[in-house]
Amino acid sequence: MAMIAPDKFRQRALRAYEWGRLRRAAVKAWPALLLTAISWWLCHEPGLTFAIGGSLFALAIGLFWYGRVATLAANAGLKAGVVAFAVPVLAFHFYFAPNCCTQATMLLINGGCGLGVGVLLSIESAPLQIQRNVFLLFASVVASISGMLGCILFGPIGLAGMAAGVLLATAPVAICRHANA
Amino acid sequence: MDDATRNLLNRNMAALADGERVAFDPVYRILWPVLVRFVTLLSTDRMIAEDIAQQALMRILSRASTFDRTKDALAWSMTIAVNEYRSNRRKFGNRAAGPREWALPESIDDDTPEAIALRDNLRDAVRAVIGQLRPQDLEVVVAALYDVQRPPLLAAAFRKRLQRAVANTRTLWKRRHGDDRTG
Repeated sequence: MAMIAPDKFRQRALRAYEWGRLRRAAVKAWPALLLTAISWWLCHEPGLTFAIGGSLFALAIGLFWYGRVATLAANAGLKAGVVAFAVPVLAFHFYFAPNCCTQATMLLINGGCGLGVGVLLSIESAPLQIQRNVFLLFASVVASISGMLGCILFGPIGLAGMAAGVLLATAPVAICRHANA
Repeated sequence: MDDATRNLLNRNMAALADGERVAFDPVYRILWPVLVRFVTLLSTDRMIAEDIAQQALMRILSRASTFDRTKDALAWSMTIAVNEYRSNRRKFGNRAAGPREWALPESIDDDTPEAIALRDNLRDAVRAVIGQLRPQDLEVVVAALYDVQRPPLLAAAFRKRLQRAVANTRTLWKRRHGDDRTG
């Protein structure tokens, strides 16, 4: 490599730093790809799976690349998302399968799972000194999308149940914190 | 580097690893002169050292997000710089010709009539070839051979022009005298 003029070199160095972050972010977002692959294998809905999985992967990369509280949120969101993904899938396959065809059961499983994940994330955001609501927002979105990959099995009701569960658990916490701030 | 600067570098490198872009300039400002000095010590050539220091700094910054905050940022950076220097030396070391390749068939340093004649012939041949160089090539060759003022160019541009001038000299030499390398 030939030597670069100092003014251009700073720009090149900054670009190298951002590319490095992006590569690292893509590596750290691997659970999104894993969940997408499992969802595709289980649910046989490639279009919806890849749309949701692609959004999750892009969002996770963006958050990991940005850094700071966004990275923490992506980490927590993916961890909670794995739970949100696994619970409906396991419930459908092993336990509730005979009764899960009713809309009420589907809503109960997915909504309950979303609610649990939302509570978990609210608790996890409590020790943060700053930007707790930003953390909660991004972590909830990541967890909801991850959970939705598992809820594809249940159709639109499942997807809506998961999103509503997470929203119901996190929104009051965020509003309450905002009011007290 | 004093302890305060070292601590500052550690703090800023950890912040950069977390995604704090405001820490970029402090890291850049602290590391650049240190890297140049360090690589100059290794390579003993300031121009090559600046080249390698640039590559090393790019490598350090591209890996900044993997920096472990429990480690010392300076030691971590120097490790990357040493690796960069080694790989550079390996790369260019492989490219350089071996000493035997350029060895003259016999010594021309003594004062025998044959050696004097050989020396005179060689000097005349070199003068004739250098006389055919373009003025801009001649300028960089003279600046590189004798310690005179260099043309107003960046180090990299000067090196590139010198490389081109040497390649042109070689072509002219081959055209007049053929390839007389022995091996």
